[in-house]
Amino acid sequence: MRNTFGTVIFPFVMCVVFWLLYRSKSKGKKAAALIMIFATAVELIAALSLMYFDVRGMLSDICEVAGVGGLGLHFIYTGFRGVFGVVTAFAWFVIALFSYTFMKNDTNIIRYDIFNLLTLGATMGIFYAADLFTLFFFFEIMSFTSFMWVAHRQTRTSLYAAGTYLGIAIAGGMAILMGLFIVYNRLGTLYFDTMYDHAVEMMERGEELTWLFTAAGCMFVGFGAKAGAFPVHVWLPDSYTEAPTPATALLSAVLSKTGIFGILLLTLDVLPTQGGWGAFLLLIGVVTMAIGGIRGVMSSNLKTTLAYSSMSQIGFILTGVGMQSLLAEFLIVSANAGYADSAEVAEIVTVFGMAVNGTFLHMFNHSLVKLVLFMAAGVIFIHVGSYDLNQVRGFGRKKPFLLITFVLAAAGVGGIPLLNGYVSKTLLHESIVEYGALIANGAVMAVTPAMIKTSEALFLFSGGLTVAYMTKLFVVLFIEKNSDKKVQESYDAKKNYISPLTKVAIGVCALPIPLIGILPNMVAKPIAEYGLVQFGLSVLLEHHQENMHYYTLKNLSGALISIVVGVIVYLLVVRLWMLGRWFSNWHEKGYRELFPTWMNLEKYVYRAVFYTAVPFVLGIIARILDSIVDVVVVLLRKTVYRERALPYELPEGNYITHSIGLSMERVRLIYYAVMRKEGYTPKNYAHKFALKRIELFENFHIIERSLSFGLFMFCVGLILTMIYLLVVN
Amino acid sequence: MIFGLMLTVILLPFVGGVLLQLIKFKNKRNKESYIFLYVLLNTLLTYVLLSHGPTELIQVINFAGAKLDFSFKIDGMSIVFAGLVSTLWPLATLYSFPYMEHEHNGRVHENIFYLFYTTTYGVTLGVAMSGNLLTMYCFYELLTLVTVPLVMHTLTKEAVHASRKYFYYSLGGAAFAFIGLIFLVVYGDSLAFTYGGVLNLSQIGDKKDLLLLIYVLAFMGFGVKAAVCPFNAWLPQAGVAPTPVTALLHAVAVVKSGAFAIMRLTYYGFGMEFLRGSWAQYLLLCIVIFTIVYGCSMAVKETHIKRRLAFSTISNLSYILFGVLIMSPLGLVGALCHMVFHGVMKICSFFCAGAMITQAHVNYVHETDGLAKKMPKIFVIFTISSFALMGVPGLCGFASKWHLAKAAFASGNMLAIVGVGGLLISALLTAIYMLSIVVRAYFPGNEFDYEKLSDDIHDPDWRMVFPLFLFVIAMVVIGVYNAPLVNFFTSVASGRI
Repeated sequence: MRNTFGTVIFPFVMCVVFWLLYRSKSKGKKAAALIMIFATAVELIAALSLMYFDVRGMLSDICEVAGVGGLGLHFIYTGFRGVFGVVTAFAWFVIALFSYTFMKNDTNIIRYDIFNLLTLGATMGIFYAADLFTLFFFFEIMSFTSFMWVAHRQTRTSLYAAGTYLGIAIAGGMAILMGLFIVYNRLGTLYFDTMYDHAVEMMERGEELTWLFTAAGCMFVGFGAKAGAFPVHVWLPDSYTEAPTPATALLSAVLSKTGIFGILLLTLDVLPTQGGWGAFLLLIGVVTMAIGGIRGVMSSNLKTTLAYSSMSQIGFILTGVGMQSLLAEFLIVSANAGYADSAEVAEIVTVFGMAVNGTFLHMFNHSLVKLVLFMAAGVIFIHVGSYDLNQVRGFGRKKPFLLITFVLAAAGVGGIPLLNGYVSKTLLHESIVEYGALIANGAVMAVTPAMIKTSEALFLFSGGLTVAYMTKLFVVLFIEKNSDKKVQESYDAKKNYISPLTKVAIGVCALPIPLIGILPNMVAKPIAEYGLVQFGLSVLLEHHQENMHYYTLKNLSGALISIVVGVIVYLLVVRLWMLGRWFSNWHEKGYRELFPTWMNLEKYVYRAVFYTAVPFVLGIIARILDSIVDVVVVLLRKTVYRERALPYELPEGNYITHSIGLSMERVRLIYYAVMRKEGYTPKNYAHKFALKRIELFENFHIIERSLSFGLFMFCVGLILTMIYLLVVN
Repeated sequence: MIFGLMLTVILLPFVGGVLLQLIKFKNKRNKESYIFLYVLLNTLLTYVLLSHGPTELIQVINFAGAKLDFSFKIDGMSIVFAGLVSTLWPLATLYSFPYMEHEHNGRVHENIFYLFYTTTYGVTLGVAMSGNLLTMYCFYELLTLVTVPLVMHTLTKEAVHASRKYFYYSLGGAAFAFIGLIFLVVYGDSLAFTYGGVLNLSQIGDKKDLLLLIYVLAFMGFGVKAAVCPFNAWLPQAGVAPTPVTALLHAVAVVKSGAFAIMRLTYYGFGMEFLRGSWAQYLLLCIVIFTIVYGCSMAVKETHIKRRLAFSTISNLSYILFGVLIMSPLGLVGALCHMVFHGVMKICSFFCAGAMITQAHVNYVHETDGLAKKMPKIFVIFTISSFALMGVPGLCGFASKWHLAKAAFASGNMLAIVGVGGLLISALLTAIYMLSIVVRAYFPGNEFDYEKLSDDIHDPDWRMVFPLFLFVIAMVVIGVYNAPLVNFFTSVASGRI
C-alpha cells in the first residue's frame, strides 16, 4: 500500500463488500460491527504505512487517476495530509470500537455502517487531494453521505436538523464550485502547488486581485460551513445534538477539520501573503470562538455544550489560520522592502512558526479531546437515556475511569498547563502577542495594533469560557448529586457501566493528552514539524524550529488569566444565573437553558429569508411572467379577436335593434321591480324594434322606387351643380 | 445510397405505424414485439447511417431560386442529436408498453398513439439531418403537428386544453422563426448550414441592428419549443400527456429540437462572429439566465411531480441556450454536453416519476412518503438521477456544468460570469426540489406507519426497470469518464466535423 489512492479507495471497496454481505439480512449485527472494526483497522494501518514510507522517502510524488469526472483525480502525500489521514483513520477505528457497544440495539445499523465507510473514504480523499477539483469531488461526497448520520434517528427533530445540514452543505458546495471556477479561470490551474506559484506571480505583477478574493470568499462559505464558522455555523448545534453520538464525535473530531483544511489551503495557496484575508479570518475566528463559548456556557444540555465547544475551538483554529496569513504578509513586506534587518526577519519567522504549529497542534488536540468527550457523553447516554444536565447529574460519581479521562480531556481543551490544549493555545496566544509587538513598531499592515490587542483579549476571554463550560460539565457529572436520591443510588450502583472495548477506545484517545502537555518539545514539536503544511513560505520554517519554553511565567500568565476568567464566569453565570439563585424561585435547583429561544439565527433569519421572503418575492414575479403570454392572448381574444357574436344568429332585426330592445326591456323590468312592484307583463321590445326596422326599410324601398323620388334626386343634383358653378367660378 | 437510407429512417417509423393500424395481431405481445422491432430496426439503420457521416449536402428538390431548396446533410451536430434521439427512442418505447396498460384511455387509442409516437421519431431525425434552414423549418412544423395528438391522448378536458395551448405556442413561435428564415434568404449567401454562418456582410451594410433584431425574434421563435421564459407555459401543462410522451418528447425530442434549431440558427445561420458582443447577445443572455433561475424556483414551488420535473426541464433547457449564447466553440461544447446529458438524466427521472404513477398512483410530492421501502429500485435510480441533475461530481450533470462554466469564464463576458452564478443557484434549487422527494421517500419520519402503504406497491416489471438501469449506467460512466465524448463534441463545436 504505497499508494495514497489505495487508502482512499479501500473504504469504498469495503462498502461494496459490506453491502454484498448484508444484502440478505442473515448475518448478525455483531458481525457487522466486527467487519467495521476490521475495515477501519486496515485503513489505519494503511495510513500509518503511508507515513512510514514517506519518512523512508519511498513515496511517489503525485498519484493520478486519469479522466475521472473530466479532470482526473490527483492525490498527493505531505506531512500535514499524512498526519490528518492517520487522525481520520484513527478516529474511525476508535469510533468503530466504541460503536460495537453503543450501536448494539440500533435497527438501521447496516445502513449506518455503509454510509460510515463511504464518509471515511471521502474524508481520506479530501486530506490526500492534490488539486482543488479532487478536494471538491470528495467534499461533496462527504457532505451527502454524512447527511445520513444526522438523519439517522429519523425523528422529527433529527429530520429537521438534517434538512438544515443538507441545505447548508449543498449551498456551501455550490459556493465552493463557484470559487473553483474563478480560481481555475484566474490562476489557470487547480493544483495547490502551482496555484501558489501563479498567485505569487500575479501579485508580483501587481494585478487586480478582486477575483481571487471573490473566489476565496465563495469557498470560505463552503469550507467555513463545514468547519462551523460564524455565521454559517447554524446547522452545527442541531446536527451535532441529533446525530448518534459516534457520528457526532466524527463530525466534531474529523469533519470539521476538513473545512479547516480547505480554508488553510485557500489561505496559503490562493491568497498567500494577503493580510486583508488574514484580518478577515481573524475577525471570523474571534467572533466564532466568543459566540461558541458563550452559547456553550449557557446551554443546559451535555451534548449541545460539547457542540458549541467544538464551534468555539474552531474559532481558535481559525484565529491561528488568520495569524498565519497576517504574519506571512508581514514577512514578505519586511523582506522585500529591506525594511528590516535579517535578525528581525528571523524573529518574524519564529512567530510565524508559532502560528503554524499552534494551528496545527490545536487541530490535532481538538480531534483527540472531542473524541474522548463525545464518547464519554455516549457512555453516559447509554445509561441515562438523555443528555439533559439535570438528568445526567451525578452520574460520574464513583467511576474513576470516566473521571480521569473526562477530566483529562476537559482540562486539556480548557488550556490547563501540563495538558495538550495549553501547548497549542500558548503557541496561538504567543503568535498574537508577538505580532502585536512587532507591528507596534510602526509597520502599516492590514490590522492595527488595537485590533490585535482586542483579539488577544477576546482570545483569553474565550479561553476562560472554555474553562467555564468544562467546569460546569465536570461539576454536574462528578461533584453534584442527582436531585432524585433513588436515581443517584442507581447511578452509584453501576459498576459495569463501560465495556472493555469502549474503555480501550477512550483510553487510547486520552493517553496523548498529558503526553503532549508534559513533554511539548519532545512530542508536540516533532508532530508539528512533520505536519508542516507544504507551501511556498514553509521552506523558511524548516530551519527555524526552536524549542519553546512553555512553562515560563509569561506563558503561564496567559493560561492563568483564562482560568481566572473561567472561574468568575462559572460562578456568575452557571452557579448564580443558571441555577436560578438570582430569582425568587431559587429553590428549583435545576439547570436551565439560558439562551433565549427567539435568538435563533437559523430559524428566524435563514429559514425565514430562504423559505418565506425570497420565495414570496420570486413567486410574485414568477406568477406574472408565467401568465403574461396567456393574459395577452386572452386579452386579444376578448377584444380585437372576439368572435362575432350576434348579428348572424339573430332571428330578426339587427344588432342595434336587438340591443336597444333588450336594454329597454331590462329598464322596464327594473322600473317594475323597483317602482310598481306588480303588474309586470313581459314585452318583447326587441321584436317590436325589429318590426319597426322592417317597416322603415320597406318604406324606404317604396320611396326609392317612386317617380317623385327620382325627380327629387334630380333637383338635388341640379342644385349641387349650381352651387359648384357659383362657388368655384 | 445514403439518401435512400435517410429517407428510410425518416419514413420507416411512419410506415410501420400505418401498418400497425392495418394488421390484425393475435395478441398484445405480438403487437408490442412488432412495434419494438421496427423502432429498433430504425435505430440500427440510423446508427449505420450516422457511421457514414459526415456527408456532403444532398439536394433533393430545388424551388424557384437557387437559395430555396430541400436538402439533407449529416454533420457533427446531426450525429449528436440523431444519435441521442435514436438511442433513447427504443428504450422509451419499451418503457411505454407497461405504462400504457395503466394509462387512462390507454387501450382505446393505443394503435393511434403508437402511430404518432413512432412517426415523431422519424420527424425528429428529419430535424437532425436537415441540410438547410428551410428543410429544418418544415420538419420542425411537422413535429408540432404530429405531437399534438400525443398530448391530447387522454382526451380529458385538461389534455385538450393543454394540446391546444401547445399547438398555438409552437405555431406562433414558428412564425417568428420564419421571419428569421426569410432574412437569411435575403442577406445570406445560401441557406445551407455552414459553420460560421452564411450572412453576406457586404449586403448587410448598415442594417446590422435590424438583423440583430431579427435574430432575437427568430431565437425567441425557436425558443418557444425550448421553453424560454416567457414562452414556457405550454410545457408544464403538456405534462398531462402519458409519461412516455412527457419524458421523451417534452424532455428530449421536442424541446431539444428547439435548442438544436437555435444552435443551427446561431452557429450555422447568423454565425457567432456576427453576434458576439452585440446587444442581442446580452439581451438574450439576460432572458436565458432569468429562465434558468425562474424554472428552478417554479419547480421548488410546484408540488405535482411531473410538473415539477417539467419546470426543471425549462431551467435545464436554458442551460443549453446559455451555452449557445456564450457564442464561442467552448460554449457550444457545453451546450452539446448538456443537451445529451440532460436528455439522459431527465428521461430517467421522468420514467421514475412514471413508475411512481403507475405502481403507486402517486402524483404529488407529499404522497411519496415512505415509498422507497416499497419500490427500492426505482428510488435508488431516482436518487442517482437527482444527484446527476444537481451536478454532483462523478455524475454526468457535473461534466456539462463544468464545461458551461469553463466556457463562460473563458469568454470573459461579465454577464456570462453572472450566468455561472445563476447556474449554481439553480443547482442549489435543483437540490431542494429533487431531494425533497428523495428525503420524503426514504425518511418519512419515525411516526410514519408503513402499514398504510398498500401491499400492491412494488417495483415495476423489467420493461420499465431495464431502460432506467441503462440510463443510470450511462450517467455514472459518462460522469466518471467522458473524455472521448467531450473530444467529439469539441471537434463538432469547432466545425471540424
